[in-house]
Amino acid sequence: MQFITTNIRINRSAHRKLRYMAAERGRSMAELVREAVDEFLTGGDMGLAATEFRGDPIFFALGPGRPQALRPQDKGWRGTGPCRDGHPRRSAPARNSARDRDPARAPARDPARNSVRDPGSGTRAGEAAAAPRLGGGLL
Amino acid sequence: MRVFIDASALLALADPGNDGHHAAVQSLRRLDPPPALITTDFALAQALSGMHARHGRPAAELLQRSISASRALRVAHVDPDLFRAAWNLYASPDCAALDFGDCTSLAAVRALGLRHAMTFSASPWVEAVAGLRRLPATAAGAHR
Repeated sequence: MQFITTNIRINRSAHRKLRYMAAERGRSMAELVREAVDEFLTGGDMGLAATEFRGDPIFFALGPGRPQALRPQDKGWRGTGPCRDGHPRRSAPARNSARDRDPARAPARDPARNSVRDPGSGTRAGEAAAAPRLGGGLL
Repeated sequence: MRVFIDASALLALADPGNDGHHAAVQSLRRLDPPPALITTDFALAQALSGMHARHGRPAAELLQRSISASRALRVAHVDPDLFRAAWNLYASPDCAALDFGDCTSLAAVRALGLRHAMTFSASPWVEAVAGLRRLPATAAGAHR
């Protein structure tokens, strides 16, 4: 690439700002001016709003594709492990659900403790099955 | 802010099936204000060839149409001076690990004074320019 050297005339205030900026960035004033000129000639920042930029065709040349699965570092990530209190998450698959549904594996139930119509009327721990009761319900 | 987009990054941005697509889109969308994206006609030619090889002619045509319609991406042309600069880089022992496409990107970045480049190439061309930052910072592996 060939270069030419030229002089530019700028006002004193711009010169002072440029000198401070160059000192701050550890670069020469000429470098900053060259960079600004390049940026100007190549269009610089296109001035697109964020929404325009996000909707630019370059991001969707072949379509939007499938949504990306959330990763642990992404906002909205909830994880798949148990909650802090040890309970499984509502969205987590049941453990051994097929095994749990197997009637052959269901524990035998005591019919005396199996009351559906009168909740709370079952036999309490340490109570005789025929113990007199004042009433059902949650007393 | 201006970001150079090489062929691998063009493919990653345009193709949702590319391994780097999510990282490419997210890393650019996070920048505020929105950056100006710059590529070269050489990088574009490489990307079109890559798209043609992977998805066929219609996909390559879609890529070209989307780049033509893009307001965020500008295509800089490799003129004879830039070509010569790229060739000199290619011929130098310092750039022995780079292919000629990388050298055109390198020459363009230097000529335009860019500070950021997006690439998913395993080639160390970004590291060959002092002060040039790679986007995304954790890009790993080649996806060309």
